[in-house]
Amino acid sequence: MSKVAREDLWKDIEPLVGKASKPSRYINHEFGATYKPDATYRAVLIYPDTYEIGMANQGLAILYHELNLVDGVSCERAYVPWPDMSDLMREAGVPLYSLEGCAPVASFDLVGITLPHEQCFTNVLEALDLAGIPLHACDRTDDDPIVVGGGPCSYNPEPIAAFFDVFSIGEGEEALPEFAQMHRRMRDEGATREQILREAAHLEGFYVPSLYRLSNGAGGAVEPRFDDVPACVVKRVVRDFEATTPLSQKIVPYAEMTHDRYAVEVLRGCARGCRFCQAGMVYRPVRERSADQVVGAVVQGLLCSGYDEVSLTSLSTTDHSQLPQILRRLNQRLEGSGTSVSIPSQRVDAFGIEMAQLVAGEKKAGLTLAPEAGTQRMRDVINKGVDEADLMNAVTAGVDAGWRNIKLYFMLGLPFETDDDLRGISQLVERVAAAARSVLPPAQHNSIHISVSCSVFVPKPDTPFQWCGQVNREEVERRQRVLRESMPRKGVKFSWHGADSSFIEAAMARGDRTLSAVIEEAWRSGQRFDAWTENFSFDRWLHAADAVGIDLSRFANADLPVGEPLPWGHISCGVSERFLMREWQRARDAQTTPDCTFTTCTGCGVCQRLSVDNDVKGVRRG
Amino acid sequence: MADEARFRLRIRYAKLGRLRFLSHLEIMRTVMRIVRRAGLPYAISQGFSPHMKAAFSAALPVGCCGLDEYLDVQLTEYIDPGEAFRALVAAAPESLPVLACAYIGFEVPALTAGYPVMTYRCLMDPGACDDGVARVQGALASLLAQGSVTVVRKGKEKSILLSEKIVGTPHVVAYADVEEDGSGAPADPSLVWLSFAALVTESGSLRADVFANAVAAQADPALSVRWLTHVATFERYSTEDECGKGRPL
Repeated sequence: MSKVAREDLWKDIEPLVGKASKPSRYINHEFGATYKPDATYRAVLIYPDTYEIGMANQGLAILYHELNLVDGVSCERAYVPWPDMSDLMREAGVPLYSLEGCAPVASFDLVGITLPHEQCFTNVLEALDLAGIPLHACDRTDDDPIVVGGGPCSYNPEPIAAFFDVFSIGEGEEALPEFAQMHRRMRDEGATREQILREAAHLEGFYVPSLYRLSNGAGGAVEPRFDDVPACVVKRVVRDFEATTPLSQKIVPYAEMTHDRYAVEVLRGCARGCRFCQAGMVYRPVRERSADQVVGAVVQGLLCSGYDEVSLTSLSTTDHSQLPQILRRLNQRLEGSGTSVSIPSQRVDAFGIEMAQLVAGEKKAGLTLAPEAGTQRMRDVINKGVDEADLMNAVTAGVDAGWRNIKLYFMLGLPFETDDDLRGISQLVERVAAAARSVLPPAQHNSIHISVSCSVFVPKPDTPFQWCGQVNREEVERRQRVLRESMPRKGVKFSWHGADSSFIEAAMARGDRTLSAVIEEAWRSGQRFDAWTENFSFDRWLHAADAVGIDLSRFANADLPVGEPLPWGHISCGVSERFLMREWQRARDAQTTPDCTFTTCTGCGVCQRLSVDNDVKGVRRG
Repeated sequence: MADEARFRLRIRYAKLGRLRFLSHLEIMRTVMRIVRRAGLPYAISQGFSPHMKAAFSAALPVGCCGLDEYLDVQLTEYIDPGEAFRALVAAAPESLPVLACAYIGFEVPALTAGYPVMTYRCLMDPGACDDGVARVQGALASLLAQGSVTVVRKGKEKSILLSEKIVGTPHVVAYADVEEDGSGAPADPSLVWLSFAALVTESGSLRADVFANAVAAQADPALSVRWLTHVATFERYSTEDECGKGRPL
């Protein structure tokens, strides 16, 4: 029972669609969408950005598929309308609606919102407000849906905890259907919202913020208010990854996507242990799909979707132990079919001549390599186990196989970085350009295009650098200048991320509950679509922080004392704090740590804590 | 290795309801995906960027439904047309139904070149008045007397002669005289239909929505265009019996 009636709002939406930009975002009825009008329990999953960005998200595609498999449960989708459309909707009194049934989001039992990055926080509020759901969890009644958060930011959910009833930590394909079934059962028994949320806290991997409070004098850390609520919520992990379907992507959008292709997740988790990378820590253990499963899924996926391109996705696809075999088999199967296979980015040290030739089909996007740091010392500090010989080898192999566009990703503001390291980036780029050109006759040297992108390091929870403050804005800008001035010009295009947006990201990443007021104030003053540069207003954020009386640099730039409780200490990805502390020490000494899928256990603790194992199909070669 | 294309399959489909908001590019991509999902052995062009060898009939503006749209796709193998049809129907989304398909010889003209006559129907809202039909007729007559429509192309104003781009005689049809066509047009008897035929020429065409809006603007206060549907595609127009002749399938 809900106070908002479930009805089909299309007749009210239709007149607005024609006036909005990119109407195909709002029309639904795509091929492959699942609509179960007779379901007794209804969930809606929201990606807090536009349709075309959200439709590329694999996590939600998987959850959509899994929830719809449950008898009597339906799952629909919603996205945040672009400001022109949401203005029209507010004017016409049309609330945020689901795509499949055009039903008000507020009429659902479960509203799931994924949190892919910190820049989406204001869009979460925009979505809740458009839906007519009270922003603050404490203001919601038995008639309101249960709002569940998930995704990468749920590893430190505190800044937006005030707006969510529950967080699903880790992999949701088993967890969310479990939650839905519990919720349905209790709802049918007449349980109150409070009772349902209390029960949710007893499910593995679910964090209910209202059952916790700020610990006294513990710098933003949080503790349970009751004994039956866990002091630490440990993530859910799917142990038998191969048993999950590789064909979770079902819907084929009409609109042009950022990537118009069928995605097959070939492996999950990464054990390289790059010290800045949160994903590498929180998605462990490493689990691969077998070559048979991948090849079958690619062929089947192309046929079911009608796409002409397939992407083999994961955090680090070139690490897959059977990738050369997979690519060889796919090249054979798909030859002459007009379809192509792409890989998101190439791991520098795994990309040699063989790989270059196997992925030869897909060169449109450019050869993407991420050395991250310009000097070997810095690469050892961040544990990016890549040496210059690997990089040059990858570049020459790529150019030899036909690539002409090379994209290089770097970061500045890393711990223990010096100006020499920054100039090292430019010198490395120069050497890459020379190596690339050396493969071609002089007449073709101008055909090599190098784009260098340098982002600002943002310290993230659950990484060895989590205690490290971000370099302050003025210093970031100075370092960007050093880089700009030393960067070679010929054939090189250099772009860098704004220090301002990285600063906000850093504050939110390591923030605590007190930040929710800032996020709300920023949204009220008009912030939304922060991830879109044209929409990001640093001034609005500063004013919002001022108005609330909070100094964001306390969260972004301050070093945290190692060993003290952290605002995210009650959420665990399975990696032990001791491991992170040890890695932090090793970073200081520029000592590298190997990848446990290549060698032996490095003691991160995940396998022990969660009773899991890496599941690698072949032999990984270092 | 792309095989020689040996068969030419002409497919007829419709663009209905909410899909009228899709652009021609989005429609083309959707239809090509339908062909792939149907598992048809389509021929692929050679060269750097291999793609499906397919040709489409004239583009419809965003906001315009279509009842008679075509795609010619080249196949490398012969598939029984009944089987092909069934596979295409199963692979198509609800509002983009596949209506027919048949093999055509290579001597049959290409779609836009060989079938340049497009008939349209648009629903006009005459507003509050005693005689809606008369209002629309008046607006139409006014535009026809003017003889041209002004459009802005590449920042410059350009005058398009109706005599060059409109064939036959545009005319008003009472709401009750038009049968339900499945496009999803609003059910409102106070609205008035306007029927016209436009020509697709090498020097461009007059967009159907531009024509409809131009008629609407002739009235004071202006009429509003509530619906636009491309009804049929023809080889030529016969002014004697005021109808199109020669369909692609």
